[in-house]
Amino acid sequence: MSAAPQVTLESSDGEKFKVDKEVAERSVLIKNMIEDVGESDNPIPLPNVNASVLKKVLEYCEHHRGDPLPAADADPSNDDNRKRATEISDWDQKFIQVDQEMLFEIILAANYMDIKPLLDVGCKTVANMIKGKTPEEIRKLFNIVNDFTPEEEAQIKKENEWAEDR
Amino acid sequence: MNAAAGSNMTKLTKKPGTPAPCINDILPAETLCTIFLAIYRGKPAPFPPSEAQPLNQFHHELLNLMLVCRAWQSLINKSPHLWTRLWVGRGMKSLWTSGSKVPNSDGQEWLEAVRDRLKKSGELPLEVTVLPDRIVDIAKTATAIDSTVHRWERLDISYGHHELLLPLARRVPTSASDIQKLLNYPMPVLESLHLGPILEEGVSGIPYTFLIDVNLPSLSRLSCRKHLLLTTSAHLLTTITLHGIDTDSLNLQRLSKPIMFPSLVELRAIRCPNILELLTIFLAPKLRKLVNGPNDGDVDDDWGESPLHEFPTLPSYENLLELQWGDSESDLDVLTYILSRCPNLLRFSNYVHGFEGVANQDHYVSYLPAHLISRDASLDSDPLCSRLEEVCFDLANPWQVEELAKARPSIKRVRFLNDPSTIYRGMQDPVERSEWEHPFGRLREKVDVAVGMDSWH
Repeated sequence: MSAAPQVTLESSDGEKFKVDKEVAERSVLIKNMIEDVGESDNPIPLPNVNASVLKKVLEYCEHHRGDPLPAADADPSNDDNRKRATEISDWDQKFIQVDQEMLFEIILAANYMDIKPLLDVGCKTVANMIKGKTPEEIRKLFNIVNDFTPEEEAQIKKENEWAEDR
Repeated sequence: MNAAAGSNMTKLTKKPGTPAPCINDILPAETLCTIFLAIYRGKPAPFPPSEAQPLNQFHHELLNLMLVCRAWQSLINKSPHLWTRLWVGRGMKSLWTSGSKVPNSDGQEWLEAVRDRLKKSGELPLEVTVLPDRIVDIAKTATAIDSTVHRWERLDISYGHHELLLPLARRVPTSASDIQKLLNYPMPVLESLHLGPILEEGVSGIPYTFLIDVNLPSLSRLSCRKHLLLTTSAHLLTTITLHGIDTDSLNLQRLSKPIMFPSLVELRAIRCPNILELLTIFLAPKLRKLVNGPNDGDVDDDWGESPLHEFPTLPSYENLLELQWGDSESDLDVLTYILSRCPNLLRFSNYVHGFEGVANQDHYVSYLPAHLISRDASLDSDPLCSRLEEVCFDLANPWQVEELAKARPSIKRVRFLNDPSTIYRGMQDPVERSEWEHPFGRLREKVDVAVGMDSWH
């Protein structure tokens, strides 16, 4: 039996990763590059992803190599996607247990490399960090400066009074 | 791929000692929107809505996000996907109870807020919850929302918390005709409709239960609580949930003939005393799952004591594979009759799944219909339920279940919600104990036995 075709990816800091083409093609960016350039022994450069993040991203792609690929035009408002909005598998939960800096790097890499399921896992994780927190707690968590005046805050609350009703 | 993502990545590489960068400088706007959407959609509303859910289920998490910073507020306001849930009647409590802010007669300020929210949703499908008891003027409210009914994908007409809202309900009652008017709007994409117990008997002089005909061509899920809502055009309807509907108080004579539901696969009738009459209304040739009960012991004695030949004629449910029957000893004849109409039944349960916590709290040992245990031909030429594969009991005598397994060798799985061994271990009489213990042991050797909520082996 012949070995699975492989490709080499090069991180922004010059580290090379040889992976199965099937794994690399979880990234729509890489898939399109391979299709455009054709088979080549040259490494595929990923100038926006450093080695530590790329290693993590490839770990995700390897684990999910056989999963069905999401539809490109998935509508976030339909029922299936609504369900997906709340679910993170056990493996994904453990995978994404990283510090905030790495979490953001993974999200950015997933966005850049166009790996939608990984982007979703990252976004859901941040969403779970936000849920149940007050505006002040959210600001503290993500280093956001409160740029509202007290009057503006009061106005937003008034305009959205219906949402506050408990 | 997001072009901005690459440039953002460098911002993460901070020098030692410098403060961590703000999330807004790291993640692109569309990623933040995806995060907000995950929060907004984080708890999909169950269908039908749960009665036990507190009022604050409607709490809009986006308010907290909007109060974080200007950038987030702006993003949220510009994202139509974050404005697809509308609560009509929402906010009345705060207006009503805030002393100086007693609403004016038409709730104009609030109606403006509704229009503003609808505008933010763009042209996306909407999930609408109408709280009739929290609407000051339903006619004026209707004018604020009627231009969007073509986008309604889900509509819940629900009832709030009585203690705070009853005074308002008494003051401005919503009548059956108001609901009829609302449902008469063309809703071409409506897929889910829940009609809750919106009227209090005597409040507006209208009977607690009423019947409405509607024309909803895309409807696939219908739930009615107390009020029976029928649709003669729902060819796509797959699931009907009925709760607390007493057919005796409905004027069913107005239906000249049964209604055909060509796509209906699941019918749930919870606390509906007369399942047989309901089944005569619904013609559902594709029905695969029927759920009945629990009835709180309030069964229709007329049916329960009738000889089998006096039951209304039901069709044969050739496609019905699963029957969940909330246990009630007095309607065994009704159950037997229904079983006789389900020749291909694979799964039978004498409690309603999802109600396990309240099933048979008195630990009353359930009896099985004699015809079911019989190995002989019974009501029809074929033995009852000859294809049965799975049976679930809240609490049953293992001897009886063993007899059932012998009579129906197709049975592969048996579940006892209450563990029989905890019953027979407490028995003082050794003979009585062995009558439970030995069959239970033999049963375990023959079929897959699960206890409580354990999974099958």
